[in-house]
Amino acid sequence: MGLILKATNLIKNYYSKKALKGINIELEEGKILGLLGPNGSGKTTFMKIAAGILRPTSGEILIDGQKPGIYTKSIVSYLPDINYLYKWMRVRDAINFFKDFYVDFDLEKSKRLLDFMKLDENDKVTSLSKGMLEKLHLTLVLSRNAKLYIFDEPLGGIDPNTREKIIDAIIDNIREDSSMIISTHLVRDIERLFDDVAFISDGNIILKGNAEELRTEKGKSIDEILREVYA
Amino acid sequence: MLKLIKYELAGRYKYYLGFSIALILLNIYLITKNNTWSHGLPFVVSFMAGFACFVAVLISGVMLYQRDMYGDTGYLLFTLPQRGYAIAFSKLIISIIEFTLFITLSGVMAFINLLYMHEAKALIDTILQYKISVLYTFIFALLTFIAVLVLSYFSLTISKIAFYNKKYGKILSLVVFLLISYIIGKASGFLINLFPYNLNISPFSGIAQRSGAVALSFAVLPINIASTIFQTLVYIGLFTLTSYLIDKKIDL
Repeated sequence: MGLILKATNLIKNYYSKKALKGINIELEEGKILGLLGPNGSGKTTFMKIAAGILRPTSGEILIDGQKPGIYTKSIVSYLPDINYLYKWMRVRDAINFFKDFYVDFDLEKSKRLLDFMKLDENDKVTSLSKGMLEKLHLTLVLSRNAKLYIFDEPLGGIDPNTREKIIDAIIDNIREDSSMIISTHLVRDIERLFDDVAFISDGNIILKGNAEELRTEKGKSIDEILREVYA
Repeated sequence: MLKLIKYELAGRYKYYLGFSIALILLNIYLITKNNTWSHGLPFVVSFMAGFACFVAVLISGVMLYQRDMYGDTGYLLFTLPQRGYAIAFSKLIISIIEFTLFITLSGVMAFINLLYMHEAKALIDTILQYKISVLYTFIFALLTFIAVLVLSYFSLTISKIAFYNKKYGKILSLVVFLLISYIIGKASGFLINLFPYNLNISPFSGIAQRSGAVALSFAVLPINIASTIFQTLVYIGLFTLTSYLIDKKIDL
């Protein structure tokens, strides 16, 4: 299997603060990577670089063999941890927006996901609760047949019922040929999805490997390993 | 790029409608006051409203770019598989549409106000006779408007790259804007002295000679050739650089 993402000695500095201190990550096509770590560890910085909206200070990141740019943006489906939709939009407008700009957007899939998430096309984005908004973001991002999905804290601030719904949506919409990077600190809920995991702390990868092998090796769940690592 | 323009318009058309209605209602109100307010005051207020429109459209144009460069919606816009020039140019086109719409509307409304003003026949006749002067003024204002926006886009982009901090980034962008304006002004002045060759457009010469009612202090609009070429190249360069920075250097 080929690599969909390869980061080599990736460094990002914000003035004197070092957000990433030489990250090396590889992700094979068809795999799901859990990027785990506490707040401020560098997860979002890494994902923003992969999404093409932040430039590394040094090092290299390749997505499908190319540096972040127009091509990689066309194959990466990125879910940031903020509400990035325009306030004037209704759910329908957001769907049309994605359909117009991404050739891999699957309208039928989006309709199914809207039904599944119980979202009304006529609802205004500003009238949605945080949970509903997260469902809409996920609907938009998952409706693309992207090569790489990047989810930054998709479960952050979401109640347990909604969390389950979001995880189910992710599971139902995973394609064999697409890859995912999911960052979260709510590992217990989602760890069953991960093929690989990378533990990040203070801008460094401190542990990485195949999720199942780590479980077997340590005799613990990924959630327990995480608690142990960051204790 | 057309899709970007389409969605910007979709998000703003209600404001256009509301603003246009407000402008029309204000002018209708001013027309009704022609007999009660002191001589010519409704026209002056209408004219001032037009100037306020110019300022509002200019601020709106800068905010349109700043919103995505410094706000959360940038995550939506800058992750689209679109070139930097398409993003910047779509913003510019939207602002030009706004400028054309509101400046034309406020100009027409001010002229209608003038038609209802007592003893304004000489001024009306002059304006009608020299319609080309109105067009020149419009084009001159539009070019100034575009130049300010292009410089604002560059200042906001370069400041965002230099400063991750939103607050300081915006302050720095103002400093960059003023600094580059000053440098362009100085360089233009230098070129005007070095190459004092003008292209003299005379849109107002007829008015100045024939109409006593209009006290214009200039008869010709001198356009220095060297300075104009220099400024055109600078603004094209700044726009190209902004597009490059969006593509290659942007840090959200």
